[in-house]
Amino acid sequence: MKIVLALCLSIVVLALVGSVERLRGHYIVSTTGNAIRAGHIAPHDYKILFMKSVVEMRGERCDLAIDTLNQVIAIAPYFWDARNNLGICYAAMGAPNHAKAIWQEILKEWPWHKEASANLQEIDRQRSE
Amino acid sequence: MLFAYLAIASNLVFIPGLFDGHDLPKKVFVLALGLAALIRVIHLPKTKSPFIYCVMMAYLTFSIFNLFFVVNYSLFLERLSLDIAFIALYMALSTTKFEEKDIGLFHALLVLVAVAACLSQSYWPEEKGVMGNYGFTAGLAALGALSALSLSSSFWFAILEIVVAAFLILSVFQSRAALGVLILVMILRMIIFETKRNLSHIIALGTLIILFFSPLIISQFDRPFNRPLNRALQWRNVLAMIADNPLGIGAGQFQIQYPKYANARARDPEMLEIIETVVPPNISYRGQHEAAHNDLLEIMAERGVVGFVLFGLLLFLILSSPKSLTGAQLGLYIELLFLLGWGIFWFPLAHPTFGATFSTIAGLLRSVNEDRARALS
Repeated sequence: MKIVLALCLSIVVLALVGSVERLRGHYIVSTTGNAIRAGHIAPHDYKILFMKSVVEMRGERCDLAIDTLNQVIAIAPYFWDARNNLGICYAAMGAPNHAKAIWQEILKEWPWHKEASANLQEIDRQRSE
Repeated sequence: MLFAYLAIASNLVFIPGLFDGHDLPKKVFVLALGLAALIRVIHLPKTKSPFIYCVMMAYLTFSIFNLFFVVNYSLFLERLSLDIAFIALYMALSTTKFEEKDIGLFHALLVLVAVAACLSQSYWPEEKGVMGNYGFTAGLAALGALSALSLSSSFWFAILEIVVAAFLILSVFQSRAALGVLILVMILRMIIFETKRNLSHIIALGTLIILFFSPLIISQFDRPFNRPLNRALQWRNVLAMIADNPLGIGAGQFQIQYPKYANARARDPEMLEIIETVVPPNISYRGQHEAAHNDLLEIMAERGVVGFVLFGLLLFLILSSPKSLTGAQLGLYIELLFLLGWGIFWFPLAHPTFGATFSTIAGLLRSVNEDRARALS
Protein backbone atom coordinates (compact mmCIF):
# COMPACT_ATOMS: atom_id res chain seq x y z
CA MET A 1 0.00 0.00 0.00
CA LYS A 2 2.79 2.42 0.92
CA ILE A 3 4.59 1.73 -2.36
CA VAL A 4 1.40 2.61 -4.25
CA LEU A 5 1.02 5.78 -2.19
CA ALA A 6 4.64 6.74 -2.85
CA LEU A 7 4.03 6.25 -6.58
CA CYS A 8 0.93 8.43 -6.30
CA LEU A 9 3.02 11.03 -4.50
CA SER A 10 5.48 11.26 -7.38
CA ILE A 11 2.63 11.50 -9.92
CA VAL A 12 1.05 14.38 -7.98
CA VAL A 13 4.40 16.21 -7.66
CA LEU A 14 4.93 15.89 -11.41
CA ALA A 15 1.41 17.15 -12.15
CA LEU A 16 1.79 20.00 -9.68
CA VAL A 17 4.93 21.19 -11.47
CA GLY A 18 3.09 20.98 -14.81
CA SER A 19 0.06 22.87 -13.48
CA VAL A 20 2.22 25.63 -12.01
CA GLU A 21 3.90 25.89 -15.41
CA ARG A 22 0.52 26.22 -17.13
CA LEU A 23 -0.65 28.71 -14.52
CA ARG A 24 2.44 30.86 -15.09
CA GLY A 25 1.85 30.72 -18.84
CA HIS A 26 -1.79 31.77 -18.54
CA TYR A 27 -0.87 34.50 -16.07
CA ILE A 28 1.69 35.96 -18.46
CA VAL A 29 -0.80 35.91 -21.34
CA SER A 30 -3.51 37.47 -19.18
CA THR A 31 -1.37 40.23 -17.73
CA THR A 32 1.11 41.06 -20.49
CA GLY A 33 -0.36 39.45 -23.60
CA ASN A 34 3.07 38.01 -24.36
CA ALA A 35 2.01 34.70 -25.87
CA ILE A 36 5.50 33.95 -27.20
CA ARG A 37 7.02 33.99 -23.72
CA ALA A 38 4.03 32.10 -22.31
CA GLY A 39 4.49 29.47 -25.01
CA HIS A 40 8.08 28.91 -23.92
CA ILE A 41 7.02 28.60 -20.27
CA ALA A 42 4.07 26.27 -20.85
CA PRO A 43 4.91 24.20 -23.95
CA HIS A 44 2.31 21.55 -23.07
CA ASP A 45 -0.72 23.86 -23.02
CA TYR A 46 -2.36 23.72 -26.43
CA LYS A 47 -4.33 26.93 -25.96
CA ILE A 48 -1.22 28.94 -25.09
CA LEU A 49 0.64 27.38 -28.00
CA PHE A 50 -2.26 28.30 -30.28
CA MET A 51 -2.04 31.92 -29.09
CA LYS A 52 1.70 31.84 -29.71
CA SER A 53 1.14 30.59 -33.26
CA VAL A 54 -1.36 33.39 -33.96
CA VAL A 55 1.15 36.00 -32.77
CA GLU A 56 3.79 34.42 -35.00
CA MET A 57 1.40 34.51 -37.95
CA ARG A 58 0.62 38.15 -37.30
CA GLY A 59 4.35 38.82 -37.29
CA GLU A 60 4.51 37.12 -40.70
CA ARG A 61 6.67 34.30 -39.34
CA CYS A 62 4.70 31.45 -40.86
CA ASP A 63 7.72 29.16 -40.68
CA LEU A 64 7.69 29.44 -36.89
CA ALA A 65 3.91 29.28 -36.76
CA ILE A 66 3.92 25.98 -38.69
CA ASP A 67 6.20 24.43 -36.07
CA THR A 68 4.04 25.73 -33.24
CA LEU A 69 0.81 24.62 -34.91
CA ASN A 70 2.23 21.16 -35.47
CA GLN A 71 2.93 21.01 -31.74
CA VAL A 72 -0.67 22.08 -31.06
CA ILE A 73 -2.07 19.44 -33.40
CA ALA A 74 0.12 16.75 -31.86
CA ILE A 75 -1.48 17.34 -28.44
CA ALA A 76 -4.95 18.41 -29.65
CA PRO A 77 -5.51 16.71 -33.02
CA TYR A 78 -9.14 17.82 -33.35
CA PHE A 79 -8.57 21.52 -32.68
CA TRP A 80 -10.03 22.64 -36.01
CA ASP A 81 -8.96 26.27 -35.73
CA ALA A 82 -5.33 25.23 -35.34
CA ARG A 83 -5.59 23.06 -38.43
CA ASN A 84 -7.25 25.89 -40.34
CA ASN A 85 -4.40 28.23 -39.44
CA LEU A 86 -1.89 25.59 -40.48
CA GLY A 87 -3.57 25.56 -43.88
CA ILE A 88 -3.28 29.36 -44.08
CA CYS A 89 0.43 29.14 -43.22
CA TYR A 90 1.07 26.56 -45.91
CA ALA A 91 -0.83 28.69 -48.44
CA ALA A 92 1.24 31.73 -47.45
CA MET A 93 4.43 29.68 -47.76
CA GLY A 94 3.50 28.73 -51.32
CA ALA A 95 2.12 25.22 -50.78
CA PRO A 96 -1.54 25.59 -51.86
CA ASN A 97 -2.09 21.88 -52.45
CA HIS A 98 -1.03 21.04 -48.93
CA ALA A 99 -3.24 23.84 -47.59
CA LYS A 100 -6.21 22.64 -49.63
CA ALA A 101 -5.80 19.08 -48.34
CA ILE A 102 -5.84 20.36 -44.76
CA TRP A 103 -9.03 22.42 -45.24
CA GLN A 104 -10.75 19.56 -47.03
CA GLU A 105 -9.88 17.28 -44.15
CA ILE A 106 -11.37 19.76 -41.63
CA LEU A 107 -14.59 20.10 -43.62
CA LYS A 108 -14.88 16.34 -43.94
CA GLU A 109 -14.93 15.97 -40.17
CA TRP A 110 -16.54 19.30 -39.22
CA PRO A 111 -18.59 20.68 -42.15
CA TRP A 112 -19.55 23.89 -40.33
CA HIS A 113 -16.10 25.40 -40.19
CA LYS A 114 -16.88 28.64 -42.05
CA GLU A 115 -13.29 29.86 -42.24
CA ALA A 116 -11.96 26.62 -43.70
CA SER A 117 -14.78 26.63 -46.25
CA ALA A 118 -14.08 30.27 -47.20
CA ASN A 119 -10.33 29.56 -47.46
CA LEU A 120 -10.99 26.60 -49.71
CA GLN A 121 -13.25 28.65 -51.99
CA GLU A 122 -10.71 31.46 -52.10
CA ILE A 123 -7.83 29.19 -53.08
CA ASP A 124 -9.98 27.54 -55.77
CA ARG A 125 -10.94 30.99 -57.08
CA GLN A 126 -7.32 32.13 -57.18
CA ARG A 127 -6.26 29.00 -59.04
CA SER A 128 -9.06 29.32 -61.62
CA GLU A 129 -7.95 32.89 -62.33
CA MET B 1 -9.78 19.21 10.41
CA LEU B 2 -7.42 21.65 8.69
CA PHE B 3 -7.64 19.58 5.50
CA ALA B 4 -11.44 19.92 5.49
CA TYR B 5 -11.30 23.69 6.05
CA LEU B 6 -8.66 24.14 3.34
CA ALA B 7 -10.61 21.97 0.90
CA ILE B 8 -13.69 24.17 1.36
CA ALA B 9 -11.60 27.35 1.20
CA SER B 10 -10.17 26.13 -2.13
CA ASN B 11 -13.48 27.23 -3.69
CA LEU B 12 -12.33 30.83 -3.19
CA VAL B 13 -8.84 30.49 -4.64
CA PHE B 14 -8.27 32.75 -7.63
CA ILE B 15 -5.81 35.26 -9.04
CA PRO B 16 -7.28 38.70 -9.83
CA GLY B 17 -6.77 39.56 -13.46
CA LEU B 18 -6.27 35.98 -14.56
CA PHE B 19 -9.03 34.81 -16.83
CA ASP B 20 -8.96 31.08 -16.51
CA GLY B 21 -11.60 28.84 -17.87
CA HIS B 22 -9.63 25.93 -16.46
CA ASP B 23 -9.67 27.03 -12.82
CA LEU B 24 -5.90 26.67 -12.83
CA PRO B 25 -5.23 28.46 -9.51
CA LYS B 26 -7.82 26.22 -7.86
CA LYS B 27 -6.25 23.17 -9.49
CA VAL B 28 -2.78 24.04 -8.22
CA PHE B 29 -4.16 24.62 -4.71
CA VAL B 30 -6.04 21.32 -4.64
CA LEU B 31 -3.03 19.40 -5.96
CA ALA B 32 -0.85 20.91 -3.22
CA LEU B 33 -3.49 20.04 -0.66
CA GLY B 34 -3.69 16.50 -2.05
CA LEU B 35 0.07 16.22 -1.76
CA ALA B 36 -0.07 17.20 1.90
CA ALA B 37 -2.92 14.72 2.47
CA LEU B 38 -0.91 11.97 0.76
CA ILE B 39 2.08 12.62 3.01
CA ARG B 40 -0.21 12.33 6.01
CA VAL B 41 -1.73 9.09 4.72
CA ILE B 42 1.72 7.61 4.10
CA HIS B 43 2.64 8.30 7.73
CA LEU B 44 -0.44 6.55 9.11
CA PRO B 45 0.28 3.32 11.02
CA LYS B 46 0.12 0.17 8.91
CA THR B 47 -3.27 -1.48 9.26
CA LYS B 48 -5.69 -3.57 7.26
CA SER B 49 -7.19 -1.50 4.44
CA PRO B 50 -10.98 -1.33 4.26
CA PHE B 51 -12.72 -2.57 1.10
CA ILE B 52 -13.44 0.95 -0.16
CA TYR B 53 -9.70 1.70 -0.31
CA CYS B 54 -9.18 -1.39 -2.45
CA VAL B 55 -11.90 -0.18 -4.86
CA MET B 56 -10.24 3.25 -4.97
CA MET B 57 -6.88 1.69 -5.78
CA ALA B 58 -8.47 -0.51 -8.46
CA TYR B 59 -10.10 2.59 -9.98
CA LEU B 60 -6.77 4.43 -10.01
CA THR B 61 -4.95 1.43 -11.46
CA PHE B 62 -7.49 1.13 -14.24
CA SER B 63 -7.21 4.86 -14.92
CA ILE B 64 -3.44 4.45 -15.29
CA PHE B 65 -4.02 1.50 -17.64
CA ASN B 66 -5.87 3.91 -19.96
CA LEU B 67 -2.50 5.56 -20.60
CA PHE B 68 -2.31 3.50 -23.79
CA PHE B 69 -5.15 5.49 -25.35
CA VAL B 70 -3.98 8.93 -24.27
CA VAL B 71 -3.21 11.72 -26.77
CA ASN B 72 -2.44 14.60 -24.41
CA TYR B 73 -0.21 13.33 -21.57
CA SER B 74 -0.13 16.66 -19.75
CA LEU B 75 -3.91 16.68 -19.27
CA PHE B 76 -3.86 12.97 -18.39
CA LEU B 77 -1.33 13.53 -15.64
CA GLU B 78 -3.26 16.50 -14.29
CA ARG B 79 -6.59 14.65 -14.20
CA LEU B 80 -5.09 11.51 -12.68
CA SER B 81 -3.35 13.58 -10.02
CA LEU B 82 -6.59 15.31 -9.14
CA ASP B 83 -8.16 11.88 -8.59
CA ILE B 84 -5.23 10.92 -6.38
CA ALA B 85 -5.61 14.19 -4.46
CA PHE B 86 -9.34 13.51 -3.93
CA ILE B 87 -8.65 9.98 -2.71
CA ALA B 88 -5.84 11.19 -0.42
CA LEU B 89 -8.16 13.81 1.07
CA TYR B 90 -10.83 11.15 1.63
CA MET B 91 -8.34 8.82 3.31
CA ALA B 92 -6.80 11.56 5.47
CA LEU B 93 -10.19 12.77 6.70
CA SER B 94 -11.83 9.39 7.13
CA THR B 95 -9.01 8.33 9.44
CA THR B 96 -9.25 11.43 11.62
CA LYS B 97 -11.40 11.77 14.71
CA PHE B 98 -14.02 14.56 14.62
CA GLU B 99 -16.35 16.01 17.21
CA GLU B 100 -19.92 17.05 16.36
CA LYS B 101 -18.90 20.69 16.79
CA ASP B 102 -16.16 20.26 14.15
CA ILE B 103 -18.82 19.29 11.62
CA GLY B 104 -20.88 22.31 12.73
CA LEU B 105 -17.87 24.57 12.11
CA PHE B 106 -17.40 22.92 8.74
CA HIS B 107 -20.99 23.82 7.76
CA ALA B 108 -20.48 27.36 9.05
CA LEU B 109 -17.36 27.72 6.90
CA LEU B 110 -19.34 26.52 3.88
CA VAL B 111 -21.84 29.32 4.47
CA LEU B 112 -19.01 31.87 4.76
CA VAL B 113 -17.44 30.61 1.54
CA ALA B 114 -20.79 30.90 -0.25
CA VAL B 115 -21.33 34.47 0.98
CA ALA B 116 -17.75 35.49 0.11
CA ALA B 117 -18.06 33.99 -3.38
CA CYS B 118 -21.43 35.72 -3.83
CA LEU B 119 -20.08 39.14 -2.79
CA SER B 120 -16.97 38.77 -4.93
CA GLN B 121 -19.06 38.57 -8.11
CA SER B 122 -19.67 42.31 -7.94
CA TYR B 123 -15.95 43.13 -7.72
CA TRP B 124 -14.47 40.51 -10.00
CA PRO B 125 -16.67 39.60 -12.94
CA GLU B 126 -15.83 36.41 -14.78
CA GLU B 127 -13.26 37.89 -17.15
CA LYS B 128 -11.31 39.29 -14.19
CA GLY B 129 -10.87 35.94 -12.50
CA VAL B 130 -13.47 33.75 -10.84
CA MET B 131 -13.46 33.59 -7.07
CA GLY B 132 -15.99 30.82 -6.72
CA ASN B 133 -19.16 29.31 -8.09
CA TYR B 134 -21.31 30.92 -5.45
CA GLY B 135 -24.68 29.54 -6.51
CA PHE B 136 -23.63 25.97 -6.02
CA THR B 137 -21.52 26.65 -2.96
CA ALA B 138 -24.56 28.36 -1.50
CA GLY B 139 -26.70 25.33 -2.27
CA LEU B 140 -24.22 23.09 -0.60
CA ALA B 141 -23.76 25.37 2.37
CA ALA B 142 -27.41 25.95 3.02
CA LEU B 143 -28.29 22.27 2.80
CA GLY B 144 -25.75 21.43 5.47
CA ALA B 145 -26.77 24.41 7.57
CA LEU B 146 -30.45 23.54 7.28
CA SER B 147 -29.83 20.03 8.49
CA ALA B 148 -27.66 21.20 11.34
CA LEU B 149 -30.25 23.77 12.37
CA SER B 150 -33.09 21.27 12.12
CA LEU B 151 -31.62 19.56 15.12
CA SER B 152 -32.57 22.53 17.22
CA SER B 153 -36.16 23.51 17.94
CA SER B 154 -35.28 27.08 18.87
CA PHE B 155 -37.45 29.82 17.34
CA TRP B 156 -34.42 31.90 16.36
CA PHE B 157 -32.82 28.95 14.69
CA ALA B 158 -36.02 28.46 12.72
CA ILE B 159 -35.87 32.11 11.58
CA LEU B 160 -32.24 31.67 10.62
CA GLU B 161 -33.20 28.56 8.70
CA ILE B 162 -35.73 30.52 6.66
CA VAL B 163 -33.18 33.27 5.93
CA VAL B 164 -30.60 30.71 4.83
CA ALA B 165 -33.18 28.96 2.64
CA ALA B 166 -34.16 32.29 1.01
CA PHE B 167 -30.52 33.13 0.34
CA LEU B 168 -30.01 29.70 -1.10
CA ILE B 169 -32.95 29.87 -3.48
CA LEU B 170 -31.97 33.34 -4.70
CA SER B 171 -28.40 32.20 -5.24
CA VAL B 172 -29.06 29.01 -7.10
CA PHE B 173 -31.72 30.63 -9.24
CA GLN B 174 -29.01 31.32 -11.83
CA SER B 175 -29.04 27.63 -12.65
CA ARG B 176 -32.22 25.70 -13.49
CA ALA B 177 -30.42 22.41 -12.88
CA ALA B 178 -29.13 23.42 -9.46
CA LEU B 179 -32.56 24.64 -8.42
CA GLY B 180 -34.23 21.43 -9.60
CA VAL B 181 -31.70 19.25 -7.80
CA LEU B 182 -31.98 21.39 -4.72
CA ILE B 183 -35.76 20.95 -4.54
CA LEU B 184 -35.43 17.18 -4.99
CA VAL B 185 -32.73 16.91 -2.36
CA MET B 186 -34.72 19.02 0.10
CA ILE B 187 -37.73 16.74 -0.35
CA LEU B 188 -35.46 13.75 0.18
CA ARG B 189 -34.00 15.41 3.26
CA MET B 190 -37.47 15.80 4.73
CA ILE B 191 -38.28 12.15 4.02
CA ILE B 192 -35.00 10.99 5.61
CA PHE B 193 -35.52 13.30 8.58
CA GLU B 194 -39.03 12.05 9.22
CA THR B 195 -38.26 8.36 8.69
CA LYS B 196 -36.83 6.42 11.56
CA ARG B 197 -35.45 3.60 9.39
CA ASN B 198 -32.01 3.72 7.82
CA LEU B 199 -32.62 4.31 4.13
CA SER B 200 -29.00 4.66 3.03
CA HIS B 201 -28.90 1.44 0.96
CA ILE B 202 -32.13 2.31 -0.85
CA ILE B 203 -31.02 5.92 -1.43
CA ALA B 204 -27.60 4.78 -2.67
CA LEU B 205 -29.13 2.39 -5.17
CA GLY B 206 -31.82 4.89 -6.22
CA THR B 207 -29.23 7.65 -6.69
CA LEU B 208 -27.07 5.44 -8.88
CA ILE B 209 -30.06 4.43 -11.00
CA ILE B 210 -31.13 8.07 -11.41
CA LEU B 211 -27.59 9.20 -12.23
CA PHE B 212 -27.17 6.43 -14.79
CA PHE B 213 -30.51 6.73 -16.57
CA SER B 214 -30.98 10.52 -16.48
CA PRO B 215 -28.63 11.33 -19.38
CA LEU B 216 -29.91 8.36 -21.39
CA ILE B 217 -33.51 9.52 -21.04
CA ILE B 218 -32.93 13.29 -21.21
CA SER B 219 -30.74 12.96 -24.31
CA GLN B 220 -33.84 11.77 -26.20
CA PHE B 221 -35.40 15.22 -25.81
CA ASP B 222 -33.50 18.11 -27.33
CA ARG B 223 -36.31 20.67 -27.01
CA PRO B 224 -38.28 19.94 -23.85
CA PHE B 225 -41.02 22.54 -23.28
CA ASN B 226 -39.95 24.15 -26.60
CA ARG B 227 -36.69 25.31 -25.08
CA PRO B 228 -33.38 24.10 -26.52
CA LEU B 229 -31.41 21.71 -24.36
CA ASN B 230 -27.86 21.70 -25.70
CA ARG B 231 -26.75 19.21 -23.08
CA ALA B 232 -29.03 16.56 -24.62
CA LEU B 233 -27.34 17.03 -28.01
CA GLN B 234 -23.91 16.85 -26.41
CA TRP B 235 -24.76 13.68 -24.50
CA ARG B 236 -25.84 11.92 -27.71
CA ASN B 237 -22.38 12.59 -29.11
CA VAL B 238 -20.74 11.48 -25.88
CA LEU B 239 -22.66 8.20 -26.14
CA ALA B 240 -21.20 7.79 -29.65
CA MET B 241 -17.76 8.41 -28.16
CA ILE B 242 -18.36 5.72 -25.52
CA ALA B 243 -19.59 3.25 -28.15
CA ASP B 244 -16.37 3.83 -30.13
CA ASN B 245 -14.10 3.60 -27.07
CA PRO B 246 -15.52 1.06 -24.59
CA LEU B 247 -12.16 0.88 -22.79
CA GLY B 248 -12.04 4.66 -22.41
CA ILE B 249 -10.06 7.45 -24.01
CA GLY B 250 -7.95 8.17 -20.93
CA ALA B 251 -8.33 10.53 -18.01
CA GLY B 252 -8.50 14.21 -18.96
CA GLN B 253 -8.85 13.44 -22.68
CA PHE B 254 -12.48 14.47 -23.09
CA GLN B 255 -11.76 18.00 -24.31
CA ILE B 256 -9.19 16.65 -26.75
CA GLN B 257 -11.36 13.91 -28.26
CA TYR B 258 -14.82 15.47 -28.16
CA PRO B 259 -14.53 17.66 -31.31
CA LYS B 260 -14.12 14.42 -33.29
CA TYR B 261 -17.55 13.29 -32.07
CA ALA B 262 -19.28 16.68 -31.90
CA ASN B 263 -21.10 15.84 -35.09
CA ALA B 264 -21.52 12.09 -34.55
CA ARG B 265 -25.20 11.83 -33.58
CA ALA B 266 -26.31 15.45 -33.24
CA ARG B 267 -24.99 18.81 -34.26
CA ASP B 268 -23.62 20.40 -31.12
CA PRO B 269 -24.44 24.12 -31.37
CA GLU B 270 -21.99 25.07 -28.61
CA MET B 271 -19.11 23.93 -30.79
CA LEU B 272 -19.99 26.75 -33.20
CA GLU B 273 -19.61 29.47 -30.59
CA ILE B 274 -16.58 31.67 -30.95
CA ILE B 275 -14.58 32.47 -27.84
CA GLU B 276 -12.66 35.71 -27.80
CA THR B 277 -9.83 36.15 -25.34
CA VAL B 278 -10.39 39.29 -23.32
CA VAL B 279 -6.75 40.30 -23.13
CA PRO B 280 -4.14 40.85 -25.84
CA PRO B 281 -3.30 39.14 -28.16
CA ASN B 282 -7.13 39.11 -28.62
CA ILE B 283 -7.53 35.77 -30.28
CA SER B 284 -10.78 34.11 -31.17
CA TYR B 285 -11.34 30.40 -31.55
CA ARG B 286 -14.16 27.94 -31.41
CA GLY B 287 -15.32 26.74 -28.04
CA GLN B 288 -13.89 23.44 -26.90
CA HIS B 289 -16.14 21.49 -24.56
CA GLU B 290 -13.93 20.80 -21.57
CA ALA B 291 -16.41 18.46 -19.95
CA ALA B 292 -19.37 16.27 -20.85
CA HIS B 293 -21.63 18.17 -18.43
CA ASN B 294 -22.56 14.87 -16.87
CA ASP B 295 -20.17 13.32 -14.42
CA LEU B 296 -21.01 9.68 -15.02
CA LEU B 297 -20.99 9.97 -18.82
CA GLU B 298 -17.61 11.66 -18.67
CA ILE B 299 -16.21 8.94 -16.42
CA MET B 300 -17.58 6.28 -18.75
CA ALA B 301 -16.07 8.04 -21.77
CA GLU B 302 -12.67 8.62 -20.17
CA ARG B 303 -12.21 5.51 -18.02
CA GLY B 304 -14.27 3.06 -20.05
CA VAL B 305 -16.92 0.65 -18.87
CA VAL B 306 -14.66 -1.04 -16.27
CA GLY B 307 -13.66 2.30 -14.75
CA PHE B 308 -17.30 3.34 -14.72
CA VAL B 309 -18.37 0.16 -12.89
CA LEU B 310 -15.62 0.68 -10.31
CA PHE B 311 -16.65 4.30 -9.85
CA GLY B 312 -20.30 3.27 -9.45
CA LEU B 313 -19.26 0.75 -6.80
CA LEU B 314 -17.27 3.48 -5.07
CA LEU B 315 -20.29 5.79 -4.99
CA PHE B 316 -22.49 2.97 -3.71
CA LEU B 317 -20.05 2.22 -0.89
CA ILE B 318 -19.87 5.90 0.08
CA LEU B 319 -23.63 6.44 0.01
CA SER B 320 -24.68 3.17 1.61
CA SER B 321 -22.18 3.27 4.48
CA PRO B 322 -24.00 5.40 7.10
CA LYS B 323 -25.56 3.23 9.76
CA SER B 324 -27.94 6.02 10.68
CA LEU B 325 -28.85 9.32 9.03
CA THR B 326 -29.23 11.62 11.95
CA GLY B 327 -27.44 14.66 13.30
CA ALA B 328 -24.20 15.61 11.61
CA GLN B 329 -24.41 12.67 9.22
CA LEU B 330 -27.67 13.87 7.67
CA GLY B 331 -26.20 17.25 6.68
CA LEU B 332 -23.12 15.66 5.13
CA TYR B 333 -25.18 13.01 3.39
CA ILE B 334 -27.55 15.40 1.64
CA GLU B 335 -24.62 17.60 0.61
CA LEU B 336 -23.18 14.57 -1.16
CA LEU B 337 -26.53 13.92 -2.84
CA PHE B 338 -26.73 17.56 -3.94
CA LEU B 339 -23.27 17.38 -5.53
CA LEU B 340 -24.09 14.11 -7.27
CA GLY B 341 -27.46 15.38 -8.49
CA TRP B 342 -25.89 18.55 -9.78
CA GLY B 343 -23.45 16.28 -11.64
CA ILE B 344 -26.30 15.27 -13.95
CA PHE B 345 -25.98 18.62 -15.73
CA TRP B 346 -22.52 19.79 -14.70
CA PHE B 347 -19.20 18.24 -13.68
CA PRO B 348 -18.57 18.79 -9.96
CA LEU B 349 -16.59 15.57 -9.61
CA ALA B 350 -14.22 16.59 -12.41
CA HIS B 351 -13.86 20.14 -11.10
CA PRO B 352 -10.85 20.60 -8.80
CA THR B 353 -12.52 22.34 -5.88
CA PHE B 354 -15.93 20.69 -6.03
CA GLY B 355 -14.26 17.31 -6.41
CA ALA B 356 -12.18 18.13 -3.34
CA THR B 357 -15.35 19.27 -1.57
CA PHE B 358 -17.07 15.99 -2.43
CA SER B 359 -14.20 13.82 -1.18
CA THR B 360 -13.90 15.95 1.95
CA ILE B 361 -17.58 15.55 2.78
CA ALA B 362 -17.41 11.82 1.99
CA GLY B 363 -14.34 11.48 4.25
CA LEU B 364 -16.04 13.36 7.09
CA LEU B 365 -19.15 11.20 6.68
CA ARG B 366 -17.11 8.03 6.95
CA SER B 367 -15.25 9.32 9.98
CA VAL B 368 -18.46 10.30 11.76
CA ASN B 369 -20.10 7.06 10.68
CA GLU B 370 -17.34 4.89 12.06
CA ASP B 371 -18.28 6.32 15.39
CA ARG B 372 -15.10 8.38 15.43
CA ALA B 373 -13.02 5.26 15.14
CA ARG B 374 -9.95 5.19 12.98
CA ALA B 375 -11.05 3.91 9.58
CA LEU B 376 -7.82 2.02 9.08
CA SER B 377 -8.19 0.06 12.30
